[in-house]
Amino acid sequence: MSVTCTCTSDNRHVTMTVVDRFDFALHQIFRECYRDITVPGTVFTLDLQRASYMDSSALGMILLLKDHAEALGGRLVVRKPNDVVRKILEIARFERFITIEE
Amino acid sequence: MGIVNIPADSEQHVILVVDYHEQDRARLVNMLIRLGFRVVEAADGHEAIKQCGNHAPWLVITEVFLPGLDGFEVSRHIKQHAGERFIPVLFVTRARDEGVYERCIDAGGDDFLQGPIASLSVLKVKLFAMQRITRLYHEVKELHGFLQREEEVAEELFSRAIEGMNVATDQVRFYKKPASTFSGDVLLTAWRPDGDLNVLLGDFTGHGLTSVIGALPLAETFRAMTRKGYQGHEVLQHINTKLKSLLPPGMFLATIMVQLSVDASQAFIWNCGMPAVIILSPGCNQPVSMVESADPPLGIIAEFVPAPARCVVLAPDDRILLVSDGVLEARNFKGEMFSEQRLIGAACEGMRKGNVAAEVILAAEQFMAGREQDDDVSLIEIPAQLYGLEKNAAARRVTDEEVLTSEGGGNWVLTLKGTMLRQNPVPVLMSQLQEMLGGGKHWQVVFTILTELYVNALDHGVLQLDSRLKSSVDGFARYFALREQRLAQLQDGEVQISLAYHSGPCSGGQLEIMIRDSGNGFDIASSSPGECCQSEQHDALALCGRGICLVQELADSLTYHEGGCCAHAVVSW
Repeated sequence: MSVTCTCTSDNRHVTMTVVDRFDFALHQIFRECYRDITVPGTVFTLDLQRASYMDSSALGMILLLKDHAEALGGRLVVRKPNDVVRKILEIARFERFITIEE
Repeated sequence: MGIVNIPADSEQHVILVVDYHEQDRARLVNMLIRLGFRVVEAADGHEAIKQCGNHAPWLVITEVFLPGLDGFEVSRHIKQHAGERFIPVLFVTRARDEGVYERCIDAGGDDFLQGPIASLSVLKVKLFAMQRITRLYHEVKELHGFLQREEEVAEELFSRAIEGMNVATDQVRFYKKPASTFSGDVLLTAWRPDGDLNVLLGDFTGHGLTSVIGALPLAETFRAMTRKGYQGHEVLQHINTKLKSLLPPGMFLATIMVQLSVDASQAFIWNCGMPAVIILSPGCNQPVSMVESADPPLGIIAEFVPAPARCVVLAPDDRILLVSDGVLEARNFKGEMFSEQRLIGAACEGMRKGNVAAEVILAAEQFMAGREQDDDVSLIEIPAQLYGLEKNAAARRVTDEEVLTSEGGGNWVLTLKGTMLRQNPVPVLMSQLQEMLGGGKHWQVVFTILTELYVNALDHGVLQLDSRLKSSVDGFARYFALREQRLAQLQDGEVQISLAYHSGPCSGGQLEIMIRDSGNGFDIASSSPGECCQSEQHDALALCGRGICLVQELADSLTYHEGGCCAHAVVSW
């Protein structure tokens, strides 16, 4: 269970990768990953291809990340959720306000 | 050393000293007595355990190597049998082997000293440290107990305020098992003024105290708006606005709202971010339908407009099952989830046995096999047929004190045009009438009449929807889809509502209702509404044409004028 964070050299593209269970246990570390990134216009990509499961607090964490990105004038893209995670995103209808890419 | 603080009640503080070496033991005992403690002694492990049971010491100082049971075993035994008490164990050893120190701590020891002890000040410092951790332990325990009691009282208060006011609890089955003292799941029911039932199952993000802060405004909004007769989507919209402004970002409410018609042939269901609602019929191996989430949870989007409700047509013995995700995601020791498939299996089995909720809970518990739950588990089972609220008879029973006794009268005229027609004016009218004329059960009747006539004027007059569309189950859904679509595109059209109130000479009153629409009217002669109720062919379960029958039953009179564009009803009490 972990979160890793990589930035491009121009610091305007940030990729966060969640591995294994994406739930409340990651709350602190997830926030610490993006909190100090304040470059205007940053595009955050949340890579979920290795996340096996997600709960409703994780949905809340995604919303907080989205708020952070939008406050910087940037945006959030969620990438490659597996079927289980996709189902949870679908139930919450997150595709209505968050870009979800394959 | 100034830090040493032997408490005044140290006489009470018995210390058990365990050492086979008599001289060393006597020296230590003397030092402790000089410091003001009472001391009991033991020369081997078995005696140590016996003395510990007899004297309940606050501290045990033991040599590591003892004949029979060694110090490690003594320590383990004491820690295991201390129960709620905390008894620190201080090891003394003459051994110089570093591996021994590790084994001391491993055996539950709290500290160790190189023996034999020669310095009084070193002993004093160690005793001080032992006293401090004992005190800390008790403080933590006390705080924990305090918190637990506070939480329990708060939870009880909370449940009474939130769920204690639920209605129809003898017919709707509720089940809730929180993951901690407080559950983030909320189960609510309330009657609408026309006798229909609104049911809400909500799941706040996470669980525990922080996840229920939104439950109070949620319950208040749900109850107040349901009682005033607002439609489900209006209630949801309002709850969303409230939660959006109250909840911290990242917190939200997934929810299902069911508006169940009391004569039970249909339910309107809104699912915002919850697992699918399951509709069950007797004798089926699969649900007859499922209502999936069509909207995001509440409290996320500022301008929230719920998707049109799913309208489900019900047979009298059907049941509606609502579950929180804690049911689907309940895990066993292998980490597998209960899943929708097992839920459906258990629900259908429950239909055969006559209790869906109990069967699902049983199946989920057997599946988890004693594993502790991760999330709140909640479940609501609603029977399609509700009894207990005699819609018409009860509504007409008016008690004396509820009736306004003064004589007088008044008129209201309200005209809605174009996009204004998207808002249902009936709740606003009702609260105005009640504010001016006082409460009473007769308003339920007025509410039903106003709603039915307004909906007819809007649907068939302004929106020109044909009610015959509703004669089949498929058509029923199509009708509501078409209605949403036309309402969204609505540019012009008009409905005028006129109310005239006359109070009776000593009690009671009369209301004249006139609703006029800008539509094309209908052929009054060929579709005389009176016939629909009297005709033997009229089927109680028919999907259309019930509105007018209902008004006829409730009102003193109902007539149509101006080629069907104007409905005139009189109701008195």
